[in-house]
Amino acid sequence: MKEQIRFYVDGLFAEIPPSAESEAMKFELLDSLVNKYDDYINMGISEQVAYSKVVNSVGDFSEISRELQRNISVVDPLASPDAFYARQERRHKRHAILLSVGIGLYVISLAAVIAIPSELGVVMMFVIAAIATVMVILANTLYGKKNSIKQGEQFVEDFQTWRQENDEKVKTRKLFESAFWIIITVIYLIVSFLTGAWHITWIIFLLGASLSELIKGILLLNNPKKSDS
Amino acid sequence: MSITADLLRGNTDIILLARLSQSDSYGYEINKEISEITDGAFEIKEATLYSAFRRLEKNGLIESYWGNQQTGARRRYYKITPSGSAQLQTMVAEWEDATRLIGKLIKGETDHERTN
Repeated sequence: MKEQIRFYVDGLFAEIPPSAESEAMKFELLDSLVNKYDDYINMGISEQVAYSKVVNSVGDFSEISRELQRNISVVDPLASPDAFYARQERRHKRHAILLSVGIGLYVISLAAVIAIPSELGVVMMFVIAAIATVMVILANTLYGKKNSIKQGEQFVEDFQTWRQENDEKVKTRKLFESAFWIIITVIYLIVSFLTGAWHITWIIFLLGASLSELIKGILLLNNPKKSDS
Repeated sequence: MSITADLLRGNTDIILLARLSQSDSYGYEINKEISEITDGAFEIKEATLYSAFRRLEKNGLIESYWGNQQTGARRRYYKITPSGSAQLQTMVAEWEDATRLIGKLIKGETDHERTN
């Protein structure tokens, strides 16, 4: 039923181009309606009746809808979804570059200590590692999730993450994944104890990983996911 | 009953400002309290509520902020601004004037009729 409420709210906002403001209001309204719904259920009201009460409690949304559509070009410079996502993409690129260079430097630091077999090598390793750490921390502070977007836009991210996480399908998938890995571990332990070949049986985990990716791939081919962007 | 509903709806702004002057709050909580205080007689529609919030915020009478895990998840909280408080005082004074005058008018007429 709560899914229904979400669809209902999506419907209300269908005509409104997404912006920080509209997504925030969507989130707020949905939160409010779900809380109301829970209250009705706790009072002992049936799901159907609770749902229709909740829908009726919204009232005439057309004025807000019109305002949000009208105000977009004036109020919100990032209102166009394209501008918004382009900006997100640039930030993500910078974050990725900074982070990967940083991690690459960790590896290079090890190469340093191997290539220069003396105290100098060890010092070089620490110095390079220090630089790497600075880069990683910078990457996270400047472009990390909590910082790269202003509060309002955080809403678009949070709301979409919330939507995806609450998707029944995602929840089921996660359940299956957990079960899958438990089974793989059990198989590993059984085979290892039976054959005593612990030095080889770890490969089972690699096989498990490939199998899991294969299954995901097959599922994706069969049910292409609806794109949220 | 219809006068009551109209009066309540027409005074949404002062009702909201008065509530926010007590403490910050968020949409669902405010709506629920109004319902409880009026024993269910007055339930604001979500659209009316959020319209009012936007209007009040645009006019600088309230401002909103997002809560975090501590204050109560990711909710949009509203708080009254200094100019909102000032406006509220004016509105309350006007309300009291209006109700007093209307009361007088209603009673005044009956008194007048009696003396005549």
